[in-house]
Amino acid sequence: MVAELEPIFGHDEEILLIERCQAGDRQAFEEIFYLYRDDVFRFSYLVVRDTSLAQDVVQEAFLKVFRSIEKFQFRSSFKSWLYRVAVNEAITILRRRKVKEDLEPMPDISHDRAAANATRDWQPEEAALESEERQLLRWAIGQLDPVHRSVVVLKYFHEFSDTEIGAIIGCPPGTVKSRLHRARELLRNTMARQMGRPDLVALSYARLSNNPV
Amino acid sequence: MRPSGRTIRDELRREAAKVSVPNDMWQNISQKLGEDPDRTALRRRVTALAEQWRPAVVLAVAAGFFWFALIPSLPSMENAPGNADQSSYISPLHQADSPVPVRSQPKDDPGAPVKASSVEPPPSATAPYNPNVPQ
Repeated sequence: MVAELEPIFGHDEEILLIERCQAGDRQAFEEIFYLYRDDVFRFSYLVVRDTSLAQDVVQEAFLKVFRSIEKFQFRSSFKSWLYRVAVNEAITILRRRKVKEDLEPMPDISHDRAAANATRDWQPEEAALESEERQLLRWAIGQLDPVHRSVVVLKYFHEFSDTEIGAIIGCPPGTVKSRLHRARELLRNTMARQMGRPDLVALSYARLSNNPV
Repeated sequence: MRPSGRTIRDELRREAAKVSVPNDMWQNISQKLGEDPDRTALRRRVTALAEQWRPAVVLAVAAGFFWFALIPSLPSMENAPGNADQSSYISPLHQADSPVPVRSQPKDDPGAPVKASSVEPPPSATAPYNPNVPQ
């Protein structure tokens, strides 16, 4: 299964640029780097959730791509290849630093609620609750395992299709769909548990057991 | 509460907007890419050296093989025809170190083993002739 990701600019231009890279043109390396740098950095940051780690991911990913660009045979798009390397790097770095990641503190919802109540005079309650939920959602996304988090970021931030995500992480679109479903159930489960809603947690577990991944 | 796709998207975008892309990344990558030719040259030099020493290594391994595998399987020098059998020789030193003490036997020692000359012949040899007993 080979899916194509749309290149940032024209397909022919991208091929020419890659061929220049394969010929050892350093200027072409730099052009490719600046074309994809922002997207790959934001993706890495959202997956590893740390600026310096994201920087490491980007640097290692581009270094690996440039060092092995001679082997690139245009069977898939360059963009999906680059993202695949970035996903692998991010997962590797996160697994190496798993202990540190596990120590990420939970958000203090009660403190936020008190702060929201204190500012109720000039901030509507709905906005305060929304802010609280957003904070909880952000924390819950951080609690996802790296693979599910990568899929969520590729889908909702980069807005790739299931086929494109499948090309990046190396699985069929059906698997991508089920992973997305599972990721959203996990988010719901984590948030419900944190908000003290065991009924929602039980419902979430029931759904997960009906949809094994 | 199951977060909708839109909520997740908004939250991810909000979070991504907080960070700015570092500017020194290309310098680091470029520097590491620049080190690659040096590393390649070093690797090439090591490979050339290994190629140069390969015959010597092969010879050494072959010699080791002959020494440890082939030499023990050859017939030993001691048992080769034409050599005197030296297995019956016991050195005085070995005798002295023997765990069984060797001592001279006293003449009237009751514990001494009976000499062959004093042993009586079997009864069949001395008994008178009896025709009922098969010889």
